Amino acid sequence: MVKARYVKDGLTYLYSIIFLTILLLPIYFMITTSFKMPVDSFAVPPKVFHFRPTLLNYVELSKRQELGRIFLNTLYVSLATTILVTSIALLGAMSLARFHFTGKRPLAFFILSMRMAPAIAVLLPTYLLFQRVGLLNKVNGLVLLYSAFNLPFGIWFLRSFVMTIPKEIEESGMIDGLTRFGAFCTLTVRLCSGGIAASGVFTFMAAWNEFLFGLALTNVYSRTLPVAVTAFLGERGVDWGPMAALGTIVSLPLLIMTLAVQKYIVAGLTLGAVKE
Amino acid sequence: MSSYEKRLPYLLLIPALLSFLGLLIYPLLYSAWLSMHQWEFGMPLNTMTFIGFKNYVSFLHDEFFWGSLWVTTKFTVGTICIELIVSMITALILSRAILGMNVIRALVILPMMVSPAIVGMVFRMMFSTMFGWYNYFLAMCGVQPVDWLSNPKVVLWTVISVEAWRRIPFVTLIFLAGLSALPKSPYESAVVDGASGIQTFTKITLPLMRPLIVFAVLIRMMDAFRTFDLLYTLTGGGPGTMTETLSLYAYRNAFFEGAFARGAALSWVLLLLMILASIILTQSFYREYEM
Repeated sequence: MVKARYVKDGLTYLYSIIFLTILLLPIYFMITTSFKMPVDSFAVPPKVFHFRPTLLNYVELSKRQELGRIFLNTLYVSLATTILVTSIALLGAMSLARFHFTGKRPLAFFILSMRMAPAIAVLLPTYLLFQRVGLLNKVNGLVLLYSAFNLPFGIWFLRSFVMTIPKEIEESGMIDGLTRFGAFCTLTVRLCSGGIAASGVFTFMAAWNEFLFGLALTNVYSRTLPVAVTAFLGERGVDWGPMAALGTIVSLPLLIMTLAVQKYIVAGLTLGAVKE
Repeated sequence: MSSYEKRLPYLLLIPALLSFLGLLIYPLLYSAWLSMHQWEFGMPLNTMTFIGFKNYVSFLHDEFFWGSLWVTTKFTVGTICIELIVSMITALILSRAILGMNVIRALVILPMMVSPAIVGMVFRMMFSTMFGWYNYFLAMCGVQPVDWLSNPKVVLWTVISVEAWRRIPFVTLIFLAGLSALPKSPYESAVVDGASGIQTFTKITLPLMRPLIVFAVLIRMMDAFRTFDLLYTLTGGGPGTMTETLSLYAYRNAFFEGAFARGAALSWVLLLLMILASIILTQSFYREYEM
């Protein structure tokens, strides 16, 4: 019955709109608040749609010079972590996806269980260790730490993608004279580029958004962006405008990246889950 | 198989395993060792005294400990329940193939990607009693404004909702994938037998989705136990200790009150609880399934 179909489609769209509105409202709030003058932010009743946009908050941000360094710190840490994690995870994914070997099951379980480690449990000893090794308050310390924490997910995620590529690809490469490893690196990896991109986005996001270690293990010179956002928690309350502006700046790269690779993110998350 | 091929899988895993050993296992073990000492701020490292499990025993008499445990439990159960229900409903509705589903899915992912610390900040503003949007919407419906973040009776639910907001996209995606992978034949038989929609759902869909639901619960439980960033920026554990989970309490001990060893012990309790919970969960559910 065509009519029933239209009704059902209509209801689906209706639900989607309501659902998306609730879901995206806070993000909309953050972005619009960043363009509002304090008068409009603190208006009672609040101005959801009608306000005069202004760049005042962003100008306010640009006056804080340390934000430039903080931004560069965060960018470096995120990029370095992503590169490190993606390469090591690819190796691990190849191992788990392509081979059967004694101890594979417990090893795989071990790697997966590393994901469980609570950051708090690692925080204190890491602080002491870094102090002893001279990595405290250094961005490279963060890179190493973030890499270790993001590896389990990266391996799990990439393994799912590698498993969708048939072994024959590598075997045909070996016929042409490549080693299995060489075939993997040149052929399989290229075929997985979407999944690798998605995994990269996830790792980048995790490093970019990280808060606890950034809070406890950095000083003025090595601070990261999410920690800087909390600096706007003044004594007299939250400084809405500049904080929303910083929040928007911090979130925007991720939102754009996510939209770019969303197809692969969805595929990777769900592949791994359904196969469990 | 050549010896190269035999050794390759192990070689490939070495970088990962080394990272885990150095940056996760070693600190965790060090933390366990620290937790068995008496050590506070102001005491140099070499004046620590070994006290065995006394730190852990002291928790039994610590009302803040039990409080944080209770908060953690309520928080975890609350957020998982909301996520499961909302995500299942959403996945069922969105599993219909309509035009624009790609766009919808792309937009749905977004809440997952914002930093939890920033999410906490943003919701702090939105839940503001005077200027927040949610109270404004309530007022439009003629409802009294709510002290979302300062009313002890409400604040835990506020926090649960924010965490659910963050995580529903993930669970919805998983359920969507699961639904699309379901076999068609049981449903065709159900139509022939004249089963109602609800019967189809409870007798066919739910049982088939069971492994996925268990998987979602497991992952969410692990993450909920460890939640820190969001709670820290949204409420800081307050008002008082109404929203102080075990992870926040461990942080407070170690970094606010300078009770380093106690903080380490608390974080180990958290870890042990997580391990225990995951063992219980997997044993009770996976035993019925031959994985």
